[in-house]
Amino acid sequence: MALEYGPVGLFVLGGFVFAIVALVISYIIRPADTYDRKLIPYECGIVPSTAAWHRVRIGYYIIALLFLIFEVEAAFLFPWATVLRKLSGTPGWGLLPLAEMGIFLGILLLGLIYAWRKGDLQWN
Amino acid sequence: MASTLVKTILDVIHNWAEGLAQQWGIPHLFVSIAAWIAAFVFVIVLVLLMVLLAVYLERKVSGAIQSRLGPMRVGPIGLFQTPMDALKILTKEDIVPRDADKILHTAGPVIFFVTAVIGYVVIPWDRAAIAAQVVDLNIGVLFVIAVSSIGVLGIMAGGWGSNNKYALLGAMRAVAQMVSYEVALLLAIVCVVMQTGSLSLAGITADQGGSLLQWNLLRWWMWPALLLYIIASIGESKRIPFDIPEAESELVAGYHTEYSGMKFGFFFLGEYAHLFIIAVTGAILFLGGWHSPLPATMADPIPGFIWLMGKALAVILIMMWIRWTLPRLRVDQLMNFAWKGLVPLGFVAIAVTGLAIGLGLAGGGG
Repeated sequence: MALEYGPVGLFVLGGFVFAIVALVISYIIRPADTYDRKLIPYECGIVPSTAAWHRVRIGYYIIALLFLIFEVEAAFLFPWATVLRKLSGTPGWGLLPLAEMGIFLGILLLGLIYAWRKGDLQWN
Repeated sequence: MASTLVKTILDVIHNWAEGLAQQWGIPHLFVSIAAWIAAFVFVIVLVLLMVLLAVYLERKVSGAIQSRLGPMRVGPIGLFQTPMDALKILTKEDIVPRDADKILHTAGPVIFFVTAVIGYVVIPWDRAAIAAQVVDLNIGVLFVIAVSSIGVLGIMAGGWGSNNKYALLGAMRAVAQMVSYEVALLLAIVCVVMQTGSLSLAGITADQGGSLLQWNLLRWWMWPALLLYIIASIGESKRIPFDIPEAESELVAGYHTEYSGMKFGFFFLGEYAHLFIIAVTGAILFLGGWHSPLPATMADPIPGFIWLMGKALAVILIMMWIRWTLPRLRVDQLMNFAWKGLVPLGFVAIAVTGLAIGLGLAGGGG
């Protein structure tokens, strides 16, 4: 039912309203005394020579890929996990549901071992 | 006793509101919206109070561990120190760096805070009184994790928007870390879901009812998952020994280097709100939620809400204990630990729980 997610929407809205109200209150009662020196990005007292917006190192790319794989895996795992106990209790099923997921996770584990051996898990 | 009293009072209020609405011909939807607003106010007040309490406890616990007293001056045993600090932060100047992206700089802390609050919508606070759980989504625990991981966007917006090298580095580290520890956290939660057969937090709580022995904490095949959850949740909330994103000795203050005043306040608030929801979720997943540890035959004068808060505080205290005892990891150690230590441990935990269930140790047909 769509109404189930009504409170979720309200919480999002309420969170933003709370944050904005607090920021406005703070805006009204706080001092505003800025000058150029104060607005320099902090780099331990030295004037920064370049802007901070740089390119990102490649290490994140591998981690992001791995993360994506495991998140998709989780999407498959959760529906299976919710019914596992019921299925295992059904006569004639026994360890079968577990074995099926074991094959799936085994393939995934092989992938993880492969990435490990290739050195992609090494953060340097 | 007390909990039934609370439930009765809430029922009376609810019936009264329903009756009033019928009398005046107001559509049912408006009554629901009013109830949601009331629930939101309840949650936000609770979160603010718990944040104040947690910050106070953090100072006192760190004091005790380091043989100091902690805050003592403001109010009796320093109780008013954190409320005063909250007031102070509200009145502090807001400094936005000259070259910063002003929109992202403001959006960062706000997003971080909002995402930390949304998750509370599915927490079952007490047995089924009306305000006990705002809504019982059937994906409950997944919702909590999904929403709190959006907080990464807030950190990234803040770190990038600051146009400060330390802030950017801190934010990049925070993203890599939270993403990695989330995988481990998910694997731990899968084990709980396998055991309880439900994603809804109310369902997970209900599965642990009856007696103390039904808690996941006391089921030995859940212990790998429990260990994984504790470690991964500390990593997810970026606390020492996993506080690489804001390692003071390397990055000044990490992603909130350029923040002051209330915007910094929201990062701070969000961080503790995040900590609290992880503790509450942990209490529900492993410590039986609002169930009392007393045997069912005994009269229980304490409402389930208080039990849940007590369990959450116990989890928070353990996390503080760890924080003030262990040194900080290096960034490469941190990432290697997540992928080479926790993820394999997650597979082991799933195998152990799965075998226990498959061999019938866990009791079939949940």
